[in-house]
Amino acid sequence: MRLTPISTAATPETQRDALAAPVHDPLWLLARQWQTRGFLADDAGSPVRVQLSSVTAPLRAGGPAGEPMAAVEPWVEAEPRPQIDDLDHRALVALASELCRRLRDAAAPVRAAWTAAFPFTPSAPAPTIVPFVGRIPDPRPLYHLLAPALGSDGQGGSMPALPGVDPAHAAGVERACRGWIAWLADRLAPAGQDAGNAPGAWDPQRLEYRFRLGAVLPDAAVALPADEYDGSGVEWYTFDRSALVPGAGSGEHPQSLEVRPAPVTYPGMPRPRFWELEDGDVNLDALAATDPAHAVLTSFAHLYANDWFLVPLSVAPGVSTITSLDVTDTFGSTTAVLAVAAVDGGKGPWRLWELTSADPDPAPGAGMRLLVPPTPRPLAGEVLEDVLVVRDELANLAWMVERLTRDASGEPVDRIQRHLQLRPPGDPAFDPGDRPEERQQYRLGTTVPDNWYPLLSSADAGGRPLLTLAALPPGAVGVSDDGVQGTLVPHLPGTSIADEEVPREGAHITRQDRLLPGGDGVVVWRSRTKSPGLGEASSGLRFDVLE
Amino acid sequence: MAISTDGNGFIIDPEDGAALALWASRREAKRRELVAAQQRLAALDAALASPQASAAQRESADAHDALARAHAATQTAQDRIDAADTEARRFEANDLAAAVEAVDAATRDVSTALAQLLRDSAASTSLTAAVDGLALRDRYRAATATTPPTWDHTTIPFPATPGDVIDPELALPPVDPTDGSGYRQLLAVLDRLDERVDAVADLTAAESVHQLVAGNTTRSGSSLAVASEGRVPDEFDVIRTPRPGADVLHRLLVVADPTAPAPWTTARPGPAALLDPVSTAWVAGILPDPVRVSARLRLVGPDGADLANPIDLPMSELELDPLGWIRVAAGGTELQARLALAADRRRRAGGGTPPPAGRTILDDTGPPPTGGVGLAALLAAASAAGRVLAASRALDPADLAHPADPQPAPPSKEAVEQIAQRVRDVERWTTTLVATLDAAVAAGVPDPAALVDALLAASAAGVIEAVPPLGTMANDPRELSRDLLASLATAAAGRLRLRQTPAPFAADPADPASSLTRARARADELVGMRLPLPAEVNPQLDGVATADLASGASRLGGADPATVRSWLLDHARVRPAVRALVDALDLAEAVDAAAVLDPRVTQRPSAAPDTWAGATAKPRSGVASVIVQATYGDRLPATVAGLAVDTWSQPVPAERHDTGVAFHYDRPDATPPQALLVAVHPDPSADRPVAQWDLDTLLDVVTSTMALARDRATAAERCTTAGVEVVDG
Repeated sequence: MRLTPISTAATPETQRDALAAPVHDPLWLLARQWQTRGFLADDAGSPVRVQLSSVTAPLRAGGPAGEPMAAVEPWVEAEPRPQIDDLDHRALVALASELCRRLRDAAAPVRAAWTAAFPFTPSAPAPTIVPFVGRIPDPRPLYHLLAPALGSDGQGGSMPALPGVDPAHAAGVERACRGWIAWLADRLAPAGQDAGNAPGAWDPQRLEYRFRLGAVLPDAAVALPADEYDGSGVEWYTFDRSALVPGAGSGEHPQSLEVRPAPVTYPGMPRPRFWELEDGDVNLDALAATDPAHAVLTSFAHLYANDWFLVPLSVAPGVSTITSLDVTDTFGSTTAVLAVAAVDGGKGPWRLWELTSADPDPAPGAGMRLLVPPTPRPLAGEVLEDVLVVRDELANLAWMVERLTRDASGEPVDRIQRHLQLRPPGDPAFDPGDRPEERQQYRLGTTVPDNWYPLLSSADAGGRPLLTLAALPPGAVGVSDDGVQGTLVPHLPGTSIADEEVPREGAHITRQDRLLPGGDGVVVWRSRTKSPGLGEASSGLRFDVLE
Repeated sequence: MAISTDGNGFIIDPEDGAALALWASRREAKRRELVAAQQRLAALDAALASPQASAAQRESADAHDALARAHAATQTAQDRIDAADTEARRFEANDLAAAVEAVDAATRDVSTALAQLLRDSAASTSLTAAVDGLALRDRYRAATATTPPTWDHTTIPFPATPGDVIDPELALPPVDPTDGSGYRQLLAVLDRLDERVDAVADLTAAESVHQLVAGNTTRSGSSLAVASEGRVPDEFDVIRTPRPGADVLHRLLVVADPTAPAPWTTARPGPAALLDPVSTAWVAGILPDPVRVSARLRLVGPDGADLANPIDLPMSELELDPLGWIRVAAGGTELQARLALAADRRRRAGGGTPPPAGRTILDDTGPPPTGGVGLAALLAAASAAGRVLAASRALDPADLAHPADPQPAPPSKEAVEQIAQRVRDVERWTTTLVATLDAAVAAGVPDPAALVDALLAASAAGVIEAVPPLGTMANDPRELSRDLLASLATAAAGRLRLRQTPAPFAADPADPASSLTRARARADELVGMRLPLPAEVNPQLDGVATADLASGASRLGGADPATVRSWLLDHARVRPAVRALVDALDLAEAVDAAAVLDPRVTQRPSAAPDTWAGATAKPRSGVASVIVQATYGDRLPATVAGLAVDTWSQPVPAERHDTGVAFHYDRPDATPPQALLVAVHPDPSADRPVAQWDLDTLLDVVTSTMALARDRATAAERCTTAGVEVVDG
């Protein structure tokens, strides 16, 4: 509480005296405390002991029946491991180099023979790949030979016959090959399991992830659906909670804790004692002068600051609920403090940090919190693909604009620069001012860059509006996009995006590699992120033009 | 000819008398012909007046009549044809009209379909579907503030009954409290809107408090200011879960033995190689030896036809040092000029007739010679090595130590003086080059070949515009314009002169660290590119770390070469500098260069047994792991030099969240007194028992003290009594 006397002082000197808090004799000190209601008796005691019970259930992948998980992001975001035949040249070079190094470690000089027998000769290699052409063995035929013979983990079967293997080096070659196949097991999909490149949780129509986790509480199981995860890091607000399934609980007892509460403190908090000096770094009153919201905030901070207490609690990641909190005061009486959610049965307005219930009756499990595993922000690599989905109100279309994609060698391709370099010289967009006026000509439509793909308004069987990837008529694109097409939005007939996912500001989807500690060292995965776009855009597409 | 015709008439030349006589005789002849014709006309008129002629005229008139009748009959027939044709056209017009109508109908259909399409599009577009949600929510709250809700123009005009029309432009469903009615569905949407606005308001207030108590009053106020404008702040810190954990430090270093010879060298190294022999030697290990690299060069005429036999030129004849290859791989015309110059010298070396003038072009269509490497591979390797150098800085002794270790000693003053000496050498080299260029210009370019060599040397010092246009304009320096060479030399000398200083570089023996920094800055200035310029340092490692960095089995668990390589490959996907190093070594191994990927690992502080931080998901917190790409043989030498390629910290998550439970409890506001009351029994009599206190006495003492305190608070001018009265006895 803060004393704000209304001063009747007239002169600066008396004003200063009125604002001062001088210290005189003991009676003076007592008098000031009496004036500031420091001796006013309340019918209550100070809290001295808190008994707290809480339950925490680890998160489980896929639902309550799933396995407990350590980190959510790699599980959700990771694209499936690729087939070796789908790898770009750069990745193939890395695999072949590692095989050569393992052969070198094993002192097995077969690189030259294998390079001659399985030469690496990709079509149209990038300049960075050219030095490897014909100088390293192609890992694809070797993998197709070795993996079936040695098993997917490299530990079974026997070595197939390979050229150039001297009997003196056969053991070293076998050791190197088995190690290489085992190493590849974590990086490649097993043969015959082509899951495409989209993560299992990826919703191609919404361009975001949709998945669910679960948890098993002592008395019930709960599913935690996440319908709109954009790939920017899992948080508690990523999830809702579905109806609890009673009877499917683990039966564990809540964790109990008995501690002394400590008053909540924060910078700028008014001190309860009259002569106690306050921190001058944060002046809450400076905020109160401007508008009602600031004033309300400041009043709250001044009036109720010393009625809040804090109890430390160490919680394992997962779904957490405080089952009881009993406060014992100095007079020995015990008061149960209920969570607001327990009082209103979860039917009140939305509250921070509480999971929203999809159950019509939110009372069971009200007040449930979710503490995500404390995985740090992952290391992120360069952007591999960059796609904008934009509205074009002038052309009455939406466009998917591939700004950055990868070619067959895995090298980045700036698509607009490529278009500018490759567009035909007859493109009227080159020098519109240089065209002679008497040579005006009628054109059915103007051309658009090859990295702009039209999305036409359509609807699914249920009438839900969609934007469907369409093809431009022949001649409308002067540059071919063969070999550099992106993969974030597949270039397949019927590919569509939900209309509401392309708002006025558009959507921006990127793809990049991420790395976190985990497993036997690190976990690397290829993820996708959706963020707001850059606003509307115009392709310049016009029909029936005379130019 | 005196008479000529110009197409419009005759033109007579009055000077030509003979021609005039001829024209006069012709005119006389024509006059005579006219007279004869008039006589014949008169004879014919006489003949017509005869009876035979009259009969003939009548016959002629009859024939005219017959012809007129025939014409009339023909006209009738034509009219009939026209009538039939008109009739036919009328039917055709009907068909056409029907067709046009059909087209119109089709157009209308298309238009309708388009309108439908447009309506769908408009309906789906947020541009046209924008509703001021806050205003709608205000109206909703105003309506639901009463019981039952008030639906009218000021709120939301739900009609009370189906026939009731409040707003003809809004077709809202009538008030119908049954479940599933349109009214109830709309109310559900409005409820959700209300809840969301409330959520945003809560969130904004929470963000404001969060920022306030974190000391960020600006952000606290600004988030409230944004919210008061009806917008939502972009980012909220308050909802982010803190991610507790510890950090592990990883460093990727290239460590070399500065005394080891480079895999290959050139006779005339450029200034960069003179300054930085350590980086030069390391790059030489990444590049294939240029002796093994050759390129086929053709001499072609303007039509692209070969003017001489192509020659296979070893790239060692270009006399480029390893850093020079990085420079030419980055682009520019220096490579072309050097290739043309070397090819021309090779062609002239045998004597005989000089090669014809033409363009020198690189023929990269064929495979490289057997066992050799193509120029493309050499350039790719140089680019890769350049990316590593660009990402790196010079190795510092602290890079091998733990951040918490005592600061290692800086490079010795001898090592710094060694670098300072190299800087002075290159300063002299620059001075000599400037003098050479100036002398050549002053003497009128007596030796173009020597001047071209000097210009290429200037290019090696980073003056790229000094490259002469060899390969395109000419192949032999003597064929280039001397004025052009002189202007290039003048410009290059001007650029190089700016780098000269009055006094040579000098290191301060008392401050080796800052001398080294100055030397590096001066080196960058002298060669026009950034050089790491590593100094020779004492690694200052203990026996454990020195053993870790030797070849052989590692002390650390999970630090075998294959695991470390795999770890590097994984990090190459997220760390560009690691990617550059791995790519460079991949290339070096593919082209059989000297360097191979040989990572060795140590970590500080050491423990026994110990697991490498890269091989476990839960490393010891505070560990610094050092991954060294070794180019020094089996044992770490006593003095090393190298590059620090990349450094990053890897957060290791904690097992649990440290959270707190806050609760509200209305505790008493009473506080302990600021003064200590020492009470003396009011009865001073000597025969009073010592401990004869009772509660009433004590209470009296306390209440009288409080009464005194109240009196103490009374201002003197308001006192009714003359002073404080203390009742004695």
